[in-house]
Amino acid sequence: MSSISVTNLHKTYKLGKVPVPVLRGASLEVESGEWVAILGHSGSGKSTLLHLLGGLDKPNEGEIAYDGKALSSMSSSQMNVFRREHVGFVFQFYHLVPELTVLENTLLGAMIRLGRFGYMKEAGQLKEAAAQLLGNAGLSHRLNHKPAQLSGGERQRVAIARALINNPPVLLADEPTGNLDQKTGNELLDVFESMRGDTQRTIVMVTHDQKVADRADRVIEMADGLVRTVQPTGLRTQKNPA
Amino acid sequence: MFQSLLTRRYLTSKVMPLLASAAVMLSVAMELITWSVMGGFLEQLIQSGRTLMGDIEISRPQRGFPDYKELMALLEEDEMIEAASPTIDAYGLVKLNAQQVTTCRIKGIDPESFDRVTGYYNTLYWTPRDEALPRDKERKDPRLDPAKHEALGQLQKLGENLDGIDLDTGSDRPQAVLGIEVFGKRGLRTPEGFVMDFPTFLPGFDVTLNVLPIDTSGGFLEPVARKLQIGNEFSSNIYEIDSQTIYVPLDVLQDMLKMDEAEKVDTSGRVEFVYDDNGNPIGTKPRETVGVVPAKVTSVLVRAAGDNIPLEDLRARVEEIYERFAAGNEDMPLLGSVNVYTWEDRNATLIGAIRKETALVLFIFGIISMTSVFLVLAIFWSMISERTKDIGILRALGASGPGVAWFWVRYGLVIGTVGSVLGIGLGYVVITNINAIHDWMSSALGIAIWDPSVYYFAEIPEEMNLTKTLIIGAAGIVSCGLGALIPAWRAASMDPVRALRFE
Repeated sequence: MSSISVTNLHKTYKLGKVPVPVLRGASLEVESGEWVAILGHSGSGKSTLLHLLGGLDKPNEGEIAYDGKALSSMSSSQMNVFRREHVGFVFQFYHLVPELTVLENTLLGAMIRLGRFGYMKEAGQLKEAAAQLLGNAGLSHRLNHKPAQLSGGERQRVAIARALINNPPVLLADEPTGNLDQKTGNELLDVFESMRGDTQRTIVMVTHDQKVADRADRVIEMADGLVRTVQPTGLRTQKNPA
Repeated sequence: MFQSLLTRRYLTSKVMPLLASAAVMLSVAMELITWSVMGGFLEQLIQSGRTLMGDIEISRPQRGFPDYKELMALLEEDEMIEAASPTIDAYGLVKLNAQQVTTCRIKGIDPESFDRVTGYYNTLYWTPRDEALPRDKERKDPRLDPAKHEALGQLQKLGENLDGIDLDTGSDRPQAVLGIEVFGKRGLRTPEGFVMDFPTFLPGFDVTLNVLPIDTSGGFLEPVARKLQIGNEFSSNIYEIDSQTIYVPLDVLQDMLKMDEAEKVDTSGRVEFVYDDNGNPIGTKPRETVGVVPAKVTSVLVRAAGDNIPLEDLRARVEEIYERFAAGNEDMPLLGSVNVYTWEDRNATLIGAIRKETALVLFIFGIISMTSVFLVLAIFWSMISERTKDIGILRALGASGPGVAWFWVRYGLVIGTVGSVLGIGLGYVVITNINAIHDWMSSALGIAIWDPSVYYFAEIPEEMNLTKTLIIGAAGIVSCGLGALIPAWRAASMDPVRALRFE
């Protein structure tokens, strides 16, 4: 479990010499064990926010804190450890390594976290855990298949299993259903629902689809690099206008 | 752990790493073949030089020195010396028939002691053979024919003794042993470029030697010609020796060059004329014989008592023995007019040149091999561009920058290892079959690169040893690691967000 606090986050990219502000002072709170959907149109800054939350990028200004601990206080190597142990990523385009099997893709995060000797020591248990995660996702019969042999929904379920192999307290999902049809997307959200289960894992999911967002506990709407909080009932309350 | 898994999978899934391995393989094989052939060339040259002249040569060209038998006895008493042998070196014209006349180095030898110093018997060509030469796959060599073994055995004896019977008349007759290439046989090429494998048969033919003796004051005497029977031929595998050397009995050459034993006359006092009855001078009175001028040789060759005796120590010992001997013998010239050489001194110019040439060629190939570094760099640069998304995934999963960099360097080292192992294998196959490959190129493609008359040895020499192989293999691996460094640094410093968004 982990709570997330985001305060006055700014992020500007440069397009050649032209600065392009993407986040303009976004702030939000995510409670521990909460499933939050960040809803916004393309270019609203929601994916950038997710990358900053996952420590893949650094803000120009503002602060992100997990359980009160600021990411900005972490060194580069601490950030690597943070990504290994604290967060799991699910991407819109799955981002599986095409040469690895389903099982190997799932285990990749554990290999990175434990290193050679640590992994070899726990290889048996980890393979069992990966097989169980994949089984829960309905992929027991696909363990030795390559990503190219899977459907889009199956690939995304592998990506989810990979994100969970290290049992992170936070799952960050970037348009997880964006590349799937509605039925498969709904099935995938069922997997999200089920995997919260007893762990009370915090989930931050980025989407541009209101119906997908409505599956979360809470919806945070973003526009022009700013954040608005919206209740899942559809009653929208603007918390921090520009 | 992820590094080894991805290395295995990347290595077999794409053609690019295989191309990189192939580049390293060719580079390693090329260097190994070059070094082995050049090294083999040098080694064979050194060994041959040593075989042909022993370890040390006491030399006084043209005029020679006497009392060599006593000197040899003294030398052979020393524990550092295995054997000594007297020789005479002279240059002359050699005539086989009206069309075939050539200049040659005529070497007078005592076959028995010459064999102990140089292994002369092993160089005799016309001897019975049971095993075919490596290149003689079809066993065309006439020496393999059991029906000819008896006759070949007789020729072997003629060669070993340099004395025997005239094959036509049955009378005693000294024999000559010609270098196998003297009349240009093995070097003869067919129009297709193929080198004739087996020489024509010369034993039994006569050969006429012409030499120009000099007197004790250095003046030229009348040329001396003598016809000898060819008893056998020899092959040292050094073209320059085999094409320019003839062995004859020591006493025959001593006689021809006026270096044999002679009466010593009293040259002091006035010349006394002899007159006829009318008082006219018709000649001079023979001078009084006061002793004997011993026979001379131009060289004494010395073989060390073992392979571990340092040459310089041996030379010092031989000089010491000679000085001691010369001090007690007024006929012997002093050191200075007699020189003591090691076999390395004798071949210093050539050995030095080949050593430098080997180093130069390796340096040039080393630079060429640097292309494999840049090739790996280019291939890896391209692969990293192709794998940008994978790098983003690894970073998102918590892999550190150095961890990602190490994966690529390790991948480069594995490609280098695969390429080096394959290159060593390829090099081994080529090196161990280099003469067969060359023969095939000659016969099938008409390309004969190795010309014995140019390259000194009749066959392409090779010497593949473990140290060279390990050095070249390690260089192949390291060059790949170096080639992977810059791309690895690029991968490590890649922005993970950009990498994940890369299309």
